[in-house]
Amino acid sequence: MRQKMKRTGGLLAWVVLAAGMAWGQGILITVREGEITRQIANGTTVEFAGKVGEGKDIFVELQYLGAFRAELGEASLTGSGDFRLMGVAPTPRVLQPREKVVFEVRFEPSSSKRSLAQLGLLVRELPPPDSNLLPGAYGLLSVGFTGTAPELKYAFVLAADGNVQPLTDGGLIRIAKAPVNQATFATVLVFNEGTAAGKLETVQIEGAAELSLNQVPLMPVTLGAGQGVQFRIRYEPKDVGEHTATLRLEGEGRVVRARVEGASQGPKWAYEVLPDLAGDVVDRLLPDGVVDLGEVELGKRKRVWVRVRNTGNEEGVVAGVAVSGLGFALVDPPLAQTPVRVGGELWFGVQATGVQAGRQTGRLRVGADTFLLTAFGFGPVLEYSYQAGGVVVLESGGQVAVPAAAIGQTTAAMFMIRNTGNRPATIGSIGVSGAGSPFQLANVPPLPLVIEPDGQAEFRIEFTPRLPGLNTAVLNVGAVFFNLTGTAAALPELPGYRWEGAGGVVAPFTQTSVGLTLQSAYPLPLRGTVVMTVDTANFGADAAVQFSTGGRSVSFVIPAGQTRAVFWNGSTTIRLQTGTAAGRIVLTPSFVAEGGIDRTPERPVVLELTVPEQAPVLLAARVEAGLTALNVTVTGYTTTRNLTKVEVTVRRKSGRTETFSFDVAQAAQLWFGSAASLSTGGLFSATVPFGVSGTAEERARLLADLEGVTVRASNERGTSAEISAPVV
Amino acid sequence: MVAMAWGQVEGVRSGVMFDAPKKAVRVVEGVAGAAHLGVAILEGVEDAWVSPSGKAAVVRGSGGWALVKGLGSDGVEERGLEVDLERAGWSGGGRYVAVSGSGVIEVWDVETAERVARVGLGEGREAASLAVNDEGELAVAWFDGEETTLEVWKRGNWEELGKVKGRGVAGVLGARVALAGEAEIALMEDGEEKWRVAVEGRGAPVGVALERGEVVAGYAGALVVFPMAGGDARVVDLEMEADRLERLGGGEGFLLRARAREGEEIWVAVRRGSEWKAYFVPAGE
Repeated sequence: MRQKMKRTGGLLAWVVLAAGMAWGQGILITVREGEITRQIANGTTVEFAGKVGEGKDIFVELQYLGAFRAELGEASLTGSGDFRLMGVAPTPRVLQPREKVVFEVRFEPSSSKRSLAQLGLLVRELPPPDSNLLPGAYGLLSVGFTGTAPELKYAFVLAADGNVQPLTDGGLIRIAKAPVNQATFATVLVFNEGTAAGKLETVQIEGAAELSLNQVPLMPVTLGAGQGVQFRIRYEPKDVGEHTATLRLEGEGRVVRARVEGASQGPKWAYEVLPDLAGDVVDRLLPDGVVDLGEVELGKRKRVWVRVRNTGNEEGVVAGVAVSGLGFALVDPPLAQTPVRVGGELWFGVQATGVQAGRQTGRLRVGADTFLLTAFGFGPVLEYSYQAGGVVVLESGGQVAVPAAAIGQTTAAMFMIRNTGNRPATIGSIGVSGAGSPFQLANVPPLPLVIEPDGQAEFRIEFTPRLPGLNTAVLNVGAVFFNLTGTAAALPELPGYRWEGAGGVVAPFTQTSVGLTLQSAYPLPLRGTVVMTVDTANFGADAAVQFSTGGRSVSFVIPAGQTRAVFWNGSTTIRLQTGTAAGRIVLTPSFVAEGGIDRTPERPVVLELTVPEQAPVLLAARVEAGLTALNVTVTGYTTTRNLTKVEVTVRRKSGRTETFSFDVAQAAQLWFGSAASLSTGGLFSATVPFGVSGTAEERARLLADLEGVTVRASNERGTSAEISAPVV
Repeated sequence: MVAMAWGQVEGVRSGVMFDAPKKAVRVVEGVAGAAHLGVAILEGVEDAWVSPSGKAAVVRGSGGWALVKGLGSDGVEERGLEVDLERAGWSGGGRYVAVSGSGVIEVWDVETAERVARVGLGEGREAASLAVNDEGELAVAWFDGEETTLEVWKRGNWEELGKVKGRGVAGVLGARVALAGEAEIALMEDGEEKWRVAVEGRGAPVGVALERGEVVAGYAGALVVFPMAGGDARVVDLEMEADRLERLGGGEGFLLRARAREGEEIWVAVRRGSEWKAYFVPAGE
C-alpha cells in the first residue's frame, strides 16, 4: 500500500476520465483523510484504518476536468455499515468544468474486523447547451473503501500453572504462595487481534515495592495486526504477607487497569534480645539491626540471649548461626539446618569478651539475616615492652633478653608498662622469682602501682650473672610473667691467694691464727672450706689440734669483690691450736663459686705448720706429802710423745738437796702407746711416789725438813727446764 | 728416806663443762692452750651449771631441773628441784649452790642434797647475781634498773652490804663479798666495805670471783684483776667477748664463754704463773 501511495502522491495531476465518457474528458477523484489526500482512479479501493467505536471522516472529492459539463447521478454507498454518508449527498448534480462535489463518508468501525464498502454513482458528460452534441454515455464512477481497526488484547500467565488468562480492565492478577526472598513471575501478554496496527503506549505498575515490572520493551510499541509483545511482573516478597499494586496498560487510547496481588508464603523470623533466659525482652531486632551488649570489662565475658521466632505461615529452617568479630562468640548455637515450625522458636547466646578498650564490633548471621554486634570494652590494658637497645613489645610469657654480661658485671634493660586501656590499672606485685637470682630489679615504683589510662611506669632489670652460660629467671608483674634471659661468659679462674698469719715452724701448745687472702678480688661470692690434716711424727695425732670453732674444718666466705676470707666465727682470721705433739699441720682450702662451681685450683696452695720435736716442757708440779709417802706429780708435755727420765730434786730446809732420777721410758711408752693418750697428744701427768721409811718420829722430822721439790723431765730431744713445787 | 717406785704417766683432764649443742656435760681433755672437749659424762642435758668441783651440777633434763652429784663416777645421784631455774651460783668449793627461779631463791647443800635456805625474791626485784660461800651463806646482787644492791641473807633477814651503779654481780669467798658494777668494784669483808675502785667504760660485768687472793671481774672485753687486799688493777684484754665468768667445773680457772650452737667458740681463762690468760677450747668434731 505504501508503494501505491507513493505512486499516487507523485501523480497529483494525474487525470482520469470517467469510464463512461464518450470523449476523453474525466472526473478527478480525490480522497482526503485528515491531512492525507490521495487522487485515485475510478474503481480504486482505498483502505482506512480506524479505531473501533471511533468515527473518522473521509472526504471523496469529484472534480470535473472536462470542457463541457458532467452530470453526476445519485450516489449510493453500499457495503459495511461502518461506512456511511454524512449530510446531504451533493448529487445528482451537473458540474461545470473545474467544478467539484465532495462526499463526506464517516468510517466508524464497529469491530476490528475488516469492513468493505463502495461509493458509486453514474456519471456522463453533457455537451454544451448550445451544441448538438449528445450527452455522453453513462459511466459508473466508484470508490471502494476497506476499513480496518486495531484491537489490543491483554492476558497473563502465572508461572505456577502456565495457563493464559485474559486480562481486562479491572481484572486481577494474583500471584499466590510466593516464597519469601525469592522472585516469582507473572507474564503479561499484549497482542493485536485487530486488522490495523495498534500501539501500546505505556505500561506502569504502582503499589508495593515487592511487585515490579520486568523485561518491559521500549515504549511505545507498535503492534501490527496479529502481533504481540510480553513482559513480566516480578514479585519478590521480603517477608510473609500480602502485597498489592496496580498494573496500568495504555494502548490505542484505551487504558486497562488491573489489580496485582502478591501473597507470600514461608517462615518469618522475629528476633528478640534478652539479658538472660528468664529475663524480659530488652530489644526487638530487625535484620541488619544492632545487638548491643553494652559495657564489658576487659578480660571478662558478658552474654545476651537471642530468641528467634517463626512468625510466618510455613515451617522454616535456620540454615545456621555464625558470629564474627574479635571477642564475640556464640553460646549454645543451634545445629545447622534446624527446622522451626510455625510459632516455634530457638535460642542461642551471644557472648562478648572484653578484648580491647573501646568499641568492639562484630557480625551475627542467623540464616540469611545479619546483625551488627557491638560492645564497649572497658578496663585497663597493659602493654609491656623492654628496651635494651631497641624497644621490644612483649606478650605475657615473652622473653626479656637482657644484654650479656661478664660474671660479676652488671647489664640492664628498662622494662616498661603502659596502660592503653580506659581504666586505671593496679599492679600489686613486681618481682623476680628465686632467691639469689642474677636478675635484680631497680627503681621499682612503690607498690601497689597504679597506672592511669595512657600512663606508663618503668623499672630496671639488672643482670649480674654469677654463673656462666644462660641464666634465666621469671619476672612477675602482677598476674603476668616474663622469662628473663641473659648470658654470661665462663667464670674466671680463681686468682692466686696467700695464707696470712702463722706459718712454717710453730711452737707447740700455742693458739695461733691464720687468714686467707686472694691476690685480687673475685667477681662472685666464694664459699670455701679449710680442711686441717695432721701428720704426726709419732704415734697418734693430737686431738687438740683443732680450729677454735671446733673440729678440723672450717668454712669461710669471700664476698664478691673482696679478697679476705671471712670465717665461720665472723672474723677474717681463724684460730687454731698447735697441740702438744710434733707433727705437720696442713691446711688445705677449697673454693666454690655460687652455683656450686668448684674453683679450687688443681694444686691448691696449702699452709704447712710444723710442730717440732723438742725437749719436754713442764707446766706444773705438785707435792703431796704423807707420813709414809711423798707423791710428786708433774704435768707437762713432750712433743715426741715420749719420756725417758724424770729427775726430782728434793730440797730440805737445811739446805741439803737430794736428786732422784727415774727412768720413766717404759711408763711413758705404755701411756703414749695407749689409745687413751690420743686425746691429749703429748700432754702427760707423771706421778713419782716416794716411800718414807723409819720410825714415826724420824718420818715426821724428815717431812718437817722438806722444803720442796724441783723436777725436770727428759726425752730424746733434751731435758726440760726445772719446775719447782713446795711441799704442801 | 727414801724408797722410790716406778713413776706413773697418764693423761690430763682440766675440767668439765656443759656443751649445749651436744646436750651433755663433757670432759675438758688436756690443759688450756692444748685442750679440747672430750667425752660426755652426763648426756641428755638441756642446760646445766656445773660445780667448781666438777662432781656436781644443777641440770635440766627431760624431767625438769635437778641437782646431780657424783659426776664422773659410777654413782650419780639426782635430786629434783621444784624451782624453774633461772640462775645458779656455786660456792667456791662446790659444797653449796644457790638457785633462783619461780619467785624464790634456794640454797642447797650438795653433800646432803638438802635445801638449807629458801627465800622469796620479793616483788619486782631481779636477782642479777647469786653467790654462796662454802658455809652456805647467800649473797645476792639485786638490780633495780639503775643500780645494784648487794645483800646477804643472815639469820632470816637481808642485810645490805653496798651498792654499785648499773647492773652488777656478786662473788663471795668466805667472809668476803665482791660487788662489781658498770662503774666500780667494791669488796666487803665481815659486813664492811674494804675498798671501792672505779672501773669505767667496760659496760656491765659478766661475773666476779674471788680467787687466790684476787678479785677477778669479768667484762665483755677484759678481765680486771684486783689484789684482794686492794691496790692497782691488772687488766687482761680479751680477744673475744666474754659473756660469763664462772668457775670451771673440775678445774682451775673460769669459763668465759660457752657455745650455744655448733661452730661457736668456747673460751676459758686460766692463770699461767702470775698472769691470767684466755684460751679457746675446741669442741671437737
